[in-house]
Amino acid sequence: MSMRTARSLLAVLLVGSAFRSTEAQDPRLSNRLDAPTRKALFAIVDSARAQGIPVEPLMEKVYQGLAMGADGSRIVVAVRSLTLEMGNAHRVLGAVATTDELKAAASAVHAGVPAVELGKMKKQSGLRRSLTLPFTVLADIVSRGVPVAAATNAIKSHGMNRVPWWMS
Amino acid sequence: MDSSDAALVARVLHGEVNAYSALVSRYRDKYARYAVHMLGNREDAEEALQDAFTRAYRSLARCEDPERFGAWLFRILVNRCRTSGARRVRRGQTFVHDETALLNASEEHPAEQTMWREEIERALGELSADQREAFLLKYVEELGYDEMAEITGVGVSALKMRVMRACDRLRVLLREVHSA
Amino acid sequence: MPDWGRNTLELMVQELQHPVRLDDSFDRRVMVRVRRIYAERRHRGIIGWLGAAASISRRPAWAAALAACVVAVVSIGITRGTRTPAIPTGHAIPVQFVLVAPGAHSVAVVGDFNNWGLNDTALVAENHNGVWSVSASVHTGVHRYAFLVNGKEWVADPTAPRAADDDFGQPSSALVVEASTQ
Repeated sequence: MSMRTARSLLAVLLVGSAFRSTEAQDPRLSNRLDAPTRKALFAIVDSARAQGIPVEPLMEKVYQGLAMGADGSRIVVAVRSLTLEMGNAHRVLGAVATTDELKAAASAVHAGVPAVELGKMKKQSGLRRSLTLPFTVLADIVSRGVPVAAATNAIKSHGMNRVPWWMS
Repeated sequence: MDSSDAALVARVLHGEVNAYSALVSRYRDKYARYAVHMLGNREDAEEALQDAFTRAYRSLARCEDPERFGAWLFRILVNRCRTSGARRVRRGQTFVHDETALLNASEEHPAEQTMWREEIERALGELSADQREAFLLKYVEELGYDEMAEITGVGVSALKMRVMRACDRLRVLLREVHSA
Repeated sequence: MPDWGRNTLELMVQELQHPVRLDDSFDRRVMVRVRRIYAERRHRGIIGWLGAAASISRRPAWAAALAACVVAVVSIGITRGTRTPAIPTGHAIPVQFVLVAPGAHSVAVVGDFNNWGLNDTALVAENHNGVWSVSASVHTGVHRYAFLVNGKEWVADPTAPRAADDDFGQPSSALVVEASTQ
């Protein structure tokens, strides 16, 4: 067995054990999700982990779906979609992006902001400044109907350089 | 948990709005007394006091010394009472003689005591607002003249004059009552 | 009858110094006003911030939407002019959730921070004359959440950004609790 295969196998085992240990701790996963759903989710989570995408937001999405009464297939679709969005964000923001930035960036992508725009914003702001809040705001205003270009310009010109009055 | 004024103010400013209720409970009765005597009736006093607490919350970030939140709140209340008093004068209202207080006289508050209280409130009502304010702050709330100056924005000399005139006027009023 | 041999004013002052007690409903009335200000301020102040950011000379149809955005920046709160303790990453800070829902029988806050738990871990709000509020310790990070009204209706926080996902057909909001570097 090559080292690469061994590392992949180890990663699968670790992710699998993480998913299964969560399953053991939270009865909702085993009580409310049927076997095919759990299998599909495990595969998505495994794939995400291999790409360096944080797993926690994906589990949060599962819990959200359970709380809101969604069926298994809808939860799978949502988690898969989130994984893709976080993957896109991860590619443009790079390894320096925090889990929170990726979550917020995924929301912006979901709302319709091209991932490449988020990458430009990150470059403009400098690598050290967190863009969690600007990405969150961007996702909100775009989802309310503001064109992407106008929204990103507004955030770029003010949202990244100035704190709200109540924070100063 | 630290329940000093400064600690409570900090908690409120950090978003824990329910912590403000501890400050309300702490100063409610203490400052109600001033408001009731200044405005002459409980209803106006409660309104002024509610207003003061609300205004204090709105501008809490501007409280420069949270450890002295009480004094800062009192200053707001004094101003609210001035505004409320001026509004009442424009409406033509004066201190209300509460006849039901006599009808409700009880062993705890015998009729004589109630009448004495009524006369005091009436006498206070005869003072100008400035004199009443100065008298209450000096003798009832027992503040020093420097504190009074800080709260009212009026100079110490002027405050002393107002207190003196208030005392003179009250003696005359109460002697007249006694003689009647 | 007071003894006029004593200083009349002394007697008067003694009488005036008797405490005046207000009942507890006074506190409740004040706190209803205060909670409303808190909820309004989060909404209005954020609109003002983004309204200033827009700098729109022409006003297309979506300008109102841009001006109407809200941001739930609750990690530091309203601390103008005061020192803010540094909040390290991973720490929890108290966050107040407020919903005006006069007709509701129950309101709970459910979200990422409590694993969307509906039973034991749901944050049950207290009702004060139709203004529901609950305080919770929330760790730094981005959190999706919603109000669950009467155990069945999901309501987004009107003072917070919408979470831009419609995955489950129910509204939800985004909460950003940021680490402070002050």
